[in-house]
Amino acid sequence: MNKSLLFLASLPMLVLPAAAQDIAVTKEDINIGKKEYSPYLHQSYPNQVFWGDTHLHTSYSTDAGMVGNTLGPDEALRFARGETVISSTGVPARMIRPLDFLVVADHAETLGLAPMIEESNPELLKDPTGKRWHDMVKAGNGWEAYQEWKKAGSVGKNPMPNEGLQRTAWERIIDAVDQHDTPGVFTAFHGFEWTSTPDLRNMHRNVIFRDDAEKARSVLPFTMFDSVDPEDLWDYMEAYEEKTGGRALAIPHGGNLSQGLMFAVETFSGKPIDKAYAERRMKWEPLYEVTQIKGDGEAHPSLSPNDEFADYYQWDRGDFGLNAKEPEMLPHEYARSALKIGLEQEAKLGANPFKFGMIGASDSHTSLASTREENYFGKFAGAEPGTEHRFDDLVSQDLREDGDGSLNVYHWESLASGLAGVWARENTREALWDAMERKEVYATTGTRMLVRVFAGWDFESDEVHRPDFAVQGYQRGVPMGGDLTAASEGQAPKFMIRALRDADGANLDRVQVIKGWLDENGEAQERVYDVAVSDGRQIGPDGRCREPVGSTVDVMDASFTNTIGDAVLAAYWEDPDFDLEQRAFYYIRVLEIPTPSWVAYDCKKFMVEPPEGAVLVQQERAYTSPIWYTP
Amino acid sequence: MHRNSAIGVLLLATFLLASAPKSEACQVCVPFPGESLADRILAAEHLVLARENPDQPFTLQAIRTIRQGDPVPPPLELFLDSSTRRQLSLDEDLSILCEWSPGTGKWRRLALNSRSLAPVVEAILQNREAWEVDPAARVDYFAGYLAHEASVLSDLARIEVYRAPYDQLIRYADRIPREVLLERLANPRLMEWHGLDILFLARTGIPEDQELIREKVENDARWPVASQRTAWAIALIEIDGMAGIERISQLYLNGPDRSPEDIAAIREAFRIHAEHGRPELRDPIANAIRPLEVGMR
Repeated sequence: MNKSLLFLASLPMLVLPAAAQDIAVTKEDINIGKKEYSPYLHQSYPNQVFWGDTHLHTSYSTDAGMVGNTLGPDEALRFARGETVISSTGVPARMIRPLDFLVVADHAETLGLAPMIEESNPELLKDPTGKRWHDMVKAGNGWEAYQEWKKAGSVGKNPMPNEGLQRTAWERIIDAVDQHDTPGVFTAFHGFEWTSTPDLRNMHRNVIFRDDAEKARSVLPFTMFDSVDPEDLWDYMEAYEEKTGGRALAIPHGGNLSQGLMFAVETFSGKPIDKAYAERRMKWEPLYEVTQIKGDGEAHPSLSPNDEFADYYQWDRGDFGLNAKEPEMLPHEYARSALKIGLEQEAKLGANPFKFGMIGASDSHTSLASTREENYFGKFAGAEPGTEHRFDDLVSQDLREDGDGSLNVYHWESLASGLAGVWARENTREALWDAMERKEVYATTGTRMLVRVFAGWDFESDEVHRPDFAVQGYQRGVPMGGDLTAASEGQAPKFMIRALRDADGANLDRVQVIKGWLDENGEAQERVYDVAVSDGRQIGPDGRCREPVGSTVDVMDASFTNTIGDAVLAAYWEDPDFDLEQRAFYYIRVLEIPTPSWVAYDCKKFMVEPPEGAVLVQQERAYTSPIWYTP
Repeated sequence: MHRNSAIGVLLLATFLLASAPKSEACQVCVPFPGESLADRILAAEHLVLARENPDQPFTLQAIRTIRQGDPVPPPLELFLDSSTRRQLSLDEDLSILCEWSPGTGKWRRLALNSRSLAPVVEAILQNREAWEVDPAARVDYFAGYLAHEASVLSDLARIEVYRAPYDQLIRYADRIPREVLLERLANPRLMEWHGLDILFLARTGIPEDQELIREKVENDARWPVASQRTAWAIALIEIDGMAGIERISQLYLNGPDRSPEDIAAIREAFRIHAEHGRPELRDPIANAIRPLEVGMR
């Protein structure tokens, strides 16, 4: 319809002057209320990114509440919704923008101990252990009480088996979560963390329910005292679904502290994994939390020596203080290598046990999901801004009798990370959870850059610039988390990728495709391709741009400018090395220009010297869930 | 602390640690090791300084042999974590001190060898024989590092000095500033390291510190998991003498039933004062401890 007709059609009472009668207007053109006009009436694909943290601890986690966190789920949710909250150490805290969703994922073990001690809960005082700890805390011996709890837990012994208390704490969290869940505005999920830590190796998972309070109330959180075997957690989730008709998923994290257990090709009980295991794992654990305060887990530079961006906040000294890292553990700890192992296992078993999508989360124990460098409230209350041990607090310590301290990890080594970006159509539990299940999600290290990717067989090079490229992407391809199959001879997968910087953040350096594939010998390979770079730099025939973006960071001033980099990067990319017989995955990594780290901001704000070896300049990044190709 | 007593406590602690599951150690404290860095250096058959192997990133290679024993060890193969790697890359003079012993058959890291540690490592090796003859000289050497800014040295000194006989140990009480003692005592993560701080605090002569010691002894008597019970009891006797002995007896020996661990901790405190404390307190301590000895029989 031309503009004249559009104007005419907008007149409800159409009276045509004589001079205009040569314009042919038919009855069909006068169609208000009769025909469809809006092009969006039948659109149902995800068209918004919702930001959230799926891993946030409050005072109801014993390792938070017993060491200074006084903020419960309600405060955590208020902070996530954008309110100003006073931190446990008395510092006013507020996010730059509210989050869209939050999972209060408190440790299931001895849930709610600290708040119940604080309030001298009568039920707690009836429990002999609870009373002892209560009295110790009230007498100023809280650390000793915490030590006693931790010791018992470290050998898998439940120091205070008390279902009544667990029920009380769980119900309170459920109530707070339900109070804040506002469909269309803010989503609060019911969930918890299962803290399996056999011999101090990290096997933790966060369990997230899709459902309402009634269903969540019908169970109690599964604890490490129930079992440390992930397959038992899946049994628990399966039983939950059967009992309630609800849905649950679990998100593993901290593979870097698992000593090779996280992506092992044996079950926890030591048997080789099989097809049933692989299918079951991917049913219950479709996502992996790839980045968080305790280290970034995308890739390890020793496994990816040709990837100059892989060296990013590795925590690779060992487990939680008992055993030093050994090189053969690394492939079973990092996401990229696990995705590669997944391809190998799929070829062998007929199912891929590590076909996971990727999200980031904070794992903050302060109740404050603050993941920006200039607004980082730390891992624990004792390391909040301005506290004495902000830098040198031990997040994990060398517990070996003959240790040399090399397993100590200090708070200055933590990273202000991460967030989950979820592609969905509306902000509800159902829509967000479903997006997680289908892996249409991505991770960032704390900022909110927008990333979208589609893969298909027949995209044209200029389509990525179309305003409706997402329509084309969904109609003729698959989004992040999807599967490509049925390649024809001579075809290669084509990708349309767009990235937009955080509105309140740094420009973008580059967009990369990370490809993993199974070669003709059945061995997994990987390669990094630069597919869009800023500032007119060139990508060479090897698919790499070797020219760094530069840096505008003034470390002393903890500042940077967006005078380098680009606000938007878009790429059309066709795999130049595609072999239709070879299984493959592709995920997108987007890098921001260099910016100051939280340590640099703190040094300026508190006029202190940085710890030796601390990262002062870094590049925030996003990792999308992969797209897999299966022959 | 008396050397024999200290060794007894050390053996007991070693036994307890060896018999308990490894992860049952305090999960929230910096562990107080049974061996000092000096012990490890002196016990090592092979000592090398290592840096990153440029041909095999993230692994260490020896760049200098400090001590070569027998048999010849296998090549050094240890993973180099990212954080240490970054530290090494920032300082060419930095290396990692590693040792190999036939007993374990494995290489292990001992310490980050900085400019400040290097001369101490040298001195440890040079003084091996002399210190075997004169252990007090060894303590005296390390006491000079009690307040060193490099924690690897101050920690080493603390372990060495804490093993010394009590009457030697307290001679170094002024080596650590009072504010440092209080700051450390306020850090619960250092709970296992507080022994020396407590004993030194008892020597400041400041009424507030003495009151803190009294309060701590009273408070600890209420709880089964109190740490440093021995050190606090020694400190109370140090500041209150006879009155301290009587109060500890009331709390632990004449009151409600106490666990064997509590009693052992108190007995150790009495024994140290009986052997190395003020002479006038020896008889009262012997009287106080007698019921325990009878009970033991």
